[in-house]
Amino acid sequence: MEKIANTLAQLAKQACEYPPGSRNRQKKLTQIIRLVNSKLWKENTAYYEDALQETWVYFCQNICEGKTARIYDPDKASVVTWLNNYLKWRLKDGYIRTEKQKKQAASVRVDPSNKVIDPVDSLPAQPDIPPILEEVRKWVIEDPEDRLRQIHLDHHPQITSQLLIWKRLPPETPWKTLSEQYGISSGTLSSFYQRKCKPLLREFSKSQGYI
Amino acid sequence: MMVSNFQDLENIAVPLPITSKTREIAREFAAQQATELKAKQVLYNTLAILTVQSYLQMLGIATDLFNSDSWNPIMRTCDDVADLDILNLGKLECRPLKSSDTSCHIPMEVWDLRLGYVVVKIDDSLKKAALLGFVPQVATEELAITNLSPMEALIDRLDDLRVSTTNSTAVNLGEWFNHIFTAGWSTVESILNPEQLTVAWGFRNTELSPENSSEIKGVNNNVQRAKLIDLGIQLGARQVVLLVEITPEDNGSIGVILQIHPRPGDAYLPEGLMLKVIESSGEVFMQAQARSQDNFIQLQFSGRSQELFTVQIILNNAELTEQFQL
Repeated sequence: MEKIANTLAQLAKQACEYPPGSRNRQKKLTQIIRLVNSKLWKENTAYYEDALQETWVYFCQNICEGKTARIYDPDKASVVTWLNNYLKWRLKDGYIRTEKQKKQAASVRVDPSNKVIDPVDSLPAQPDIPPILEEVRKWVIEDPEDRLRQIHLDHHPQITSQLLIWKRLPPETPWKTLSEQYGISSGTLSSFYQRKCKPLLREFSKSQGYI
Repeated sequence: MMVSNFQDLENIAVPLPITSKTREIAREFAAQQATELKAKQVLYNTLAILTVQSYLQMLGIATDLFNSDSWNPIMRTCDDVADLDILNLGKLECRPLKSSDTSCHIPMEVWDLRLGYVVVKIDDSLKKAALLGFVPQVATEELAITNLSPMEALIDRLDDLRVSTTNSTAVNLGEWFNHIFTAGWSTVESILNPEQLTVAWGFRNTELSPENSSEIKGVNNNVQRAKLIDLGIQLGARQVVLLVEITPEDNGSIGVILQIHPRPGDAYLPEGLMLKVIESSGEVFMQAQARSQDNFIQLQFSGRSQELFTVQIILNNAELTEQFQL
């Protein structure tokens, strides 16, 4: 324990010798996160991860420069103590927030001890075919601009972007199967898909008002 | 530093929490999918991407989700994609790994156009993640996690890229008229053999009518330089020569001729080699492609002084990009 505290103090000192944003500062911060993590307070509450993430942000912002709070003072506390103090404050915030929400609505899935009832998050039920996939399917089949069937792999007029986008829509045909089917290497097919078909999909996406 | 076994790997992993906001977004994206299998894929991909983003943000590295395919509802529906755009540097692929897995699936459609791959182990609770490590490129669909380098390798990779992007400002062609030549660009005669020179200039002379040529007025202002281009390791260090000629035009524009020649000693260009000119907007302005027995390819256009354009030379998966300013 004493040894790790010394190592951490050393690393913190070294980190601050490099300017913010420099690769050496970034590496030292990474090393500290690795070492400190196991020494931090643990508990199983719904808001623990949020509080811990806030603690890491606080650590990076204030270990060398006081960007969001008072700068870390190695004479006052070890890195672990400094971060545990902050973490506990954030956990207290989380507790208060959850209590408030519980009073407002019973929507948060926690039991009285603040343990999450269902740790393995279940996914919502699926509609048959979600509208996005249906939208893409329609576009590929209809090819309204007559482009998807025009763009094809060099020397292989039958391998069009229409064919390949269609085959790769989920549930997608594996590259290996396509390769065997058409006698063209997976690498050539997937490269064509990446360089020629993906840009078409992006364009379509834009035209539909997505990003 | 390579990781020799799984135990070491666990020690060098960077542990991070998965926030409730991240889980919420991941579940929302998953709910848009048609099958449970696809929903799981999107869920895990999104958790991996946002966890890497948190880490990079902590280190002060800016990312742009809205420039990432993974953030595009159509792209993430159609592809198994987990890219995170690193501002001005390129795309980092963030691949998730379930706690029981010992290798990470990297689909072929993300082998290209990435600055590297980070593997993120997602705990079964979906509340904890570990950044296991980084590789700059992949050539297998199942990446063994013992082949990963620690996250420090990503930090180096990003900083190297940043340094080369800021230093490699556009080749200033305008300065060539003042005979200030960019490092790496040599006289055409020093790179091409006499036979190639005849081909190059012979073609040019039939293309340019005397009226267009400044030579007729006795003011020979055109400047040519050439550069040996290495098309990367995948093709056994295949080299070609990029030749640039600029000519001042009467209307104040600058005429540009780009040619690609085989390296002296090679008879023909590699078949399929592509030369592209891309405008500053990102639009492909013109392109040419080598056929089976081409001994050179050429593009010709004119632009205004100060105008920026990018030249891309592509052969299969290898790609070289160079920026120019007129």
